[in-house]
Amino acid sequence: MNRGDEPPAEDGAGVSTWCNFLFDFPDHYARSTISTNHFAYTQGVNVLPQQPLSLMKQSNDTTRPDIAIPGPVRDLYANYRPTILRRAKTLEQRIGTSARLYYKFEGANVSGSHKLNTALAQAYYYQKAGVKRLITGTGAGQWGTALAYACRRFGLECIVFMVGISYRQKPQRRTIVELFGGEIHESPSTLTRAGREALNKDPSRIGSLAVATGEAIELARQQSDTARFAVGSGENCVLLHQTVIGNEAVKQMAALDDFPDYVVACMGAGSNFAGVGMPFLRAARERGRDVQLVAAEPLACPKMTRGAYLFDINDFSGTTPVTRMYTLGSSYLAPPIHAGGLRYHGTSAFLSSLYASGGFTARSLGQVEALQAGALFAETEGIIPAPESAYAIAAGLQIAADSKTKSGSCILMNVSGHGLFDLAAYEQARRGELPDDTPDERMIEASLASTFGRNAEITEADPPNVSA
Amino acid sequence: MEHDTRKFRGAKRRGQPGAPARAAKQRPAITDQPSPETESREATTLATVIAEVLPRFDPQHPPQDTAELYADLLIDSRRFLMIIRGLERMLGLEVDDEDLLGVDLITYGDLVTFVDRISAKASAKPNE
Repeated sequence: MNRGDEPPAEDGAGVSTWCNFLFDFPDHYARSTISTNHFAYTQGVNVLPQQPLSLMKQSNDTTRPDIAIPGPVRDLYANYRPTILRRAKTLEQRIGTSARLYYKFEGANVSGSHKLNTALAQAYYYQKAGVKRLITGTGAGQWGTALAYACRRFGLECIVFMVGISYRQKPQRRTIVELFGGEIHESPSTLTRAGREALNKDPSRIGSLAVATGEAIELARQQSDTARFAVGSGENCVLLHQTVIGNEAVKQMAALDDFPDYVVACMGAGSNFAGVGMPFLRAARERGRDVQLVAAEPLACPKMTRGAYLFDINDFSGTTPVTRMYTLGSSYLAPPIHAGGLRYHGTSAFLSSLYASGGFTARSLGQVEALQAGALFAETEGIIPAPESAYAIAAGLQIAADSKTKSGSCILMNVSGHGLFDLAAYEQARRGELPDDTPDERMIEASLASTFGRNAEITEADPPNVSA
Repeated sequence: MEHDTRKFRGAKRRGQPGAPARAAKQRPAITDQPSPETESREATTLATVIAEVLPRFDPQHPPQDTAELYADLLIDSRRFLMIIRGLERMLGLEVDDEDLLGVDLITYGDLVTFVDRISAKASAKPNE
């Protein structure tokens, strides 16, 4: 039995399809499409989706178990995939656990994170649909840099609105976006109405992904002849593209003659979590095994563990579709933790439905615990994880240490990105100077109360059966 | 992500106090007689498919070409996708991203023209 004692060969772990989890969970798909009767009377509206039809179809397809990865996207994936999956034996020894800890590392590409998996796919489809420019909002900057690179490869222009606090914490991200010919703005900016409104409430420009997204959407609307808004997480098609992670990992774990009892990933809007997790849910069912997916979220933005399952908007401008999700309310502004990618107020509608039915668990962790786990991982495994990924590692260590966890459990952690642009975070952690990440309780209460209030005013529309 | 009319905060439904006043244009009746140019096989198929998506839609009496898809027929981009799926099934074709290049779909007439176009393209393929 191998069980990670020997380094696995990545040869043979390549995959040619994405795992269409909507096929596996049509009921959760249907539940996640329930919208609201929010039609406002508006004339002259073009009903053409702002996304390419191919992406719309992917987000609503319950008919096929797998979706082929287009050739040009596979060619670009081949530059950095399959990504490594390793057993963290030194880490196991250091913490003295009988659990088997594995990690999948998605940081070894030009963007430094898993975001490139969907950025390449989206740029391919948008270019095919005749779009000339993609505009987006980014939190910690991984998505923005990934999209800038993908746009470069497919001949598109790229404009990025980056959350202010992250923009200042990680100036290298700006450099990379510009290196690939992209244009990047600190959000909230004065370029858009949404940005100017947010600046009134947030003059120190901490920012949030909801605001950055709102700015990107507003600009894309103004340039709708040539530009589109691209989204880095949350939507089903984005989650789908990330399943390349889990599809590979299933094969890699099989090559190691092992199978995880727990798959752990951090939870922002859900793409890396779904990407690594959903293929394991399918594999477990096919193999008659049990696997538990665990979402790790920051104490500073505890949408799964303290939020509510409500209809909410996805961006500050309020122009995106209303979906039912686990949310803290779109007006919630999380403390400026280093894991900027986890500061988003809500999460994927599909994952929210799955979570509401007990399909996976979640736990919230403090920034100090997360970065300490990240530092330990760096020391023992030689990879400095992104602060977001450090939350997944910390959760994995919690599970390994949990007395209720049966001896010899197998835990797979998704290390979604590297932390080489986050050394200031580790420096603060090392010096014990990390700022307080306790959420503002009054803000959570007010934001949730406002969202509950809006929910009381709306009614559900008939769930459309798009997948037919 | 869909089009930008899906307002949540502050959105008013028709008939609610404070809802936007209707523009001067009269809402075309859904049961208006079809105009001659909508009587093609494709138009009939389209009307049948829309009836599957919108149960209150009467395929025997499609709206005038000037009826707006969103404002008058309540077809949003998600329902548009359902219509595309239905057309693909009934006409035996596949609608690609390229088929939507440069297309504006505001009125029912726009949609009929679009369906005529993709149907003609599909018919021409075997001879190419």
